[in-house]
Amino acid sequence: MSTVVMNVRPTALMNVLLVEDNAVDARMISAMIQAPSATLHCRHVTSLAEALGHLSCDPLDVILLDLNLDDSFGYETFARMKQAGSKAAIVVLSGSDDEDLAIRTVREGAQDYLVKGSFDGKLLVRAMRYAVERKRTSEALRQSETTVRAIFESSLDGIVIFENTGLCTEANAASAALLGVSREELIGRRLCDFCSEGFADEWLQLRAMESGRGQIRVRLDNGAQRLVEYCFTGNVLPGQHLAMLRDITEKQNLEEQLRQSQKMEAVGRLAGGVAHDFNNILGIISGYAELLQLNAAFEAERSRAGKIITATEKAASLTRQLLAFGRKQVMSLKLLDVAEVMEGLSSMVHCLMGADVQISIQAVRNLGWVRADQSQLEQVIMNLTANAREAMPDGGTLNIMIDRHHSYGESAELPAGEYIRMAVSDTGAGMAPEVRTRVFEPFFTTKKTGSGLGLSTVYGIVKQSGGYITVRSEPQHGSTFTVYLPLIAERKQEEAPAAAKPTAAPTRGHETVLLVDNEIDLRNATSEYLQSCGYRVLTANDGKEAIEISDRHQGTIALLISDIVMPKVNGRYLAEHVRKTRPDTGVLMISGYANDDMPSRGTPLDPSCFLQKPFTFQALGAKIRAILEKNGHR
Amino acid sequence: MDCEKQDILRAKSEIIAPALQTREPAFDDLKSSAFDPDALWNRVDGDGDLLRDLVAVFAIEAPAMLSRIGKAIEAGDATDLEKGGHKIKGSLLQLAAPAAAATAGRLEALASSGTLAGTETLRNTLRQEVDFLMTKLDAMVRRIG
Repeated sequence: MSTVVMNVRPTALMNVLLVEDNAVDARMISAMIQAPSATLHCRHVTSLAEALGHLSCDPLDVILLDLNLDDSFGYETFARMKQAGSKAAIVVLSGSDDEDLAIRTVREGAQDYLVKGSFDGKLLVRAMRYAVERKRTSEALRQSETTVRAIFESSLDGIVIFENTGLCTEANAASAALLGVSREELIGRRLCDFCSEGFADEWLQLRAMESGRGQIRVRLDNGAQRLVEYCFTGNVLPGQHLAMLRDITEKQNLEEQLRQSQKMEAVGRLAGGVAHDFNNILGIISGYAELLQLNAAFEAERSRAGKIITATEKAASLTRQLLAFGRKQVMSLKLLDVAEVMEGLSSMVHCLMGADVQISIQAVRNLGWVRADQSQLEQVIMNLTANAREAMPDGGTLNIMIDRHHSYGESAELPAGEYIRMAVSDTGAGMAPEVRTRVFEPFFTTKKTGSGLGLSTVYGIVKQSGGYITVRSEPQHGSTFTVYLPLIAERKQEEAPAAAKPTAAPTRGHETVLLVDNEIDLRNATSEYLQSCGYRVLTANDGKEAIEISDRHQGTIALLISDIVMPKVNGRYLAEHVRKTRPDTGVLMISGYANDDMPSRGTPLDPSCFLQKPFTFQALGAKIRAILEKNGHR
Repeated sequence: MDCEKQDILRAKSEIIAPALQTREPAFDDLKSSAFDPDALWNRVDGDGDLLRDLVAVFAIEAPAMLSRIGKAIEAGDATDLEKGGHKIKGSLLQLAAPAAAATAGRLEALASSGTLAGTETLRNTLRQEVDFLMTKLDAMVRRIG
């Protein structure tokens, strides 16, 4: 039986379902809630089955539920109603003043329990309204708890609840994974169990401060260490403390690598810049020394000039190493089989190591080809083996292994790709982490007599060759330097024949050359030398002045000799202008930087038309003749 | 204050005001430990129509409820006796009949414990109490007109 017993709905409507099989009670309760202020739509049913049927079709706010019905009796009635999942508040109306039953139903979700005969209409209506509010609040709380639980469970960060003693009482899956244990294993343990000893004090401090952020080094049960960032909030509930944990080990490693890379880049730029300026100065010294030597009247003078030239060559060798680190060295790139290069150096490596070092070289030819400068690659091998030798003063074993390596890009140190890998390992003293991180810095050395340029040169060459280098080392457990050079070809392709080497002997000339360099002393010395060789020399301080001279000059200019990096108009722009306006004029570029050092400034120059500073006048003279004769000048 | 004013105030407080108040029906003579007419009158919030309805419904339902109890006792059905006792107890509580409600409660409790001994006596007592209640309810309904 289902009848609408009342319908009052002026403003806020409350839908009520009265489940009552006692006619007297039903009439009384219906009348009670018929208060003028109440805005109720009340439907009365007499059995649980009918009531359950209404749940799916009527949006209900309150169910007034008598527990003792013909088709259901006692707590079972409430349980079945609750199980039906209605969102309505349930107010139990019972003839039983049974405290246990009342507590049980309220604990299990009833919003109130009223004993029949103990309430009047006002109390009942108020109880219904409170019940609706309680239900809404509990529903909001339940939804909030569901949301928080979902966040807790799915968070990528570890979330842990601790009690005052530091024992973990709740933990999400991420925190368990971070600490390398199962969730069950984590609950009941202290965070201090995973941390270094100092954290116990830090924990007490956090407890006192009630909040804080920081980093802790976590020691996993398997011995691994992780760097963890935490955010602590004390007493989120009385005696319950929250810690958010984030594993920043990889982030820290990447940042460290980036810092190291940026530092090396900055130092490289600095070193390269210094070397460039030095090269110009050495060029001036060397140039005038050569002029002195050429014009010396006595053998003693010639000899003294020769010593100056020798000294400048030694100095130039140092700047070459700096340029190599700064990746500004001139390269003669060609396809190389690293194993073949290694074979060529094998006897030298044996000499270098001495009798007390066992040598194992595993290198198979035809693994593939890399593009590199052979002399530079040889320098890499020699520097690494020399470094290994110095790490093993009392003997040991040197292992050199060359093989193919495919990187999937899993490490930030090595992008995905195919590589030829050369690993040079020693069984020497190894390095502490603070040494290892600085090992490629120029002038950083742990040796009393070292220059600190050996490994930095290796680093520069590898980088300039498009490769990568890593170092693994631990104190007393030796070191392994691993060089990765990109695989260019499986098989060697035919390369263009190398440009003919300039003849060592200076060749006199008679042509007009335009010499452009903003280094006045070097320009003057070079001009003097060229004039002494018979050339007619036009000089300009920069590209702009050179263009003016070129455009104004009536006769032939056989060759433009120009620095590249200059103020106002640079050498490349000047060369383009001259080629357009004087197609027959040859071009020779000179620079303190490497030929291919300035990719943003244009395509690399033809090596046969490039000379790196500092150069000897003999080399310059030979280069000039080679270009002029190629252009038909005799 | 002059005499005329005093007379007016006295007339207002002693004669006019009581005459204007709604007169509540008096049930003192119906009141006993078995029935509290004032409580019932309060429960229906002075609604005479509701009271009449309730009494009419109870007059129809009570015999059926007592009959159910009797049949349950005769059949030895404790479960049905518990339900029947509980149901009439609810009505008696609503009708402010504590003694009869207590008797019904005792019947319910005995049945709940599975004991039927003594329930027949309680059923008789309950029937007498319900009859007594009905006379009082009828009187109360007549009183309110």
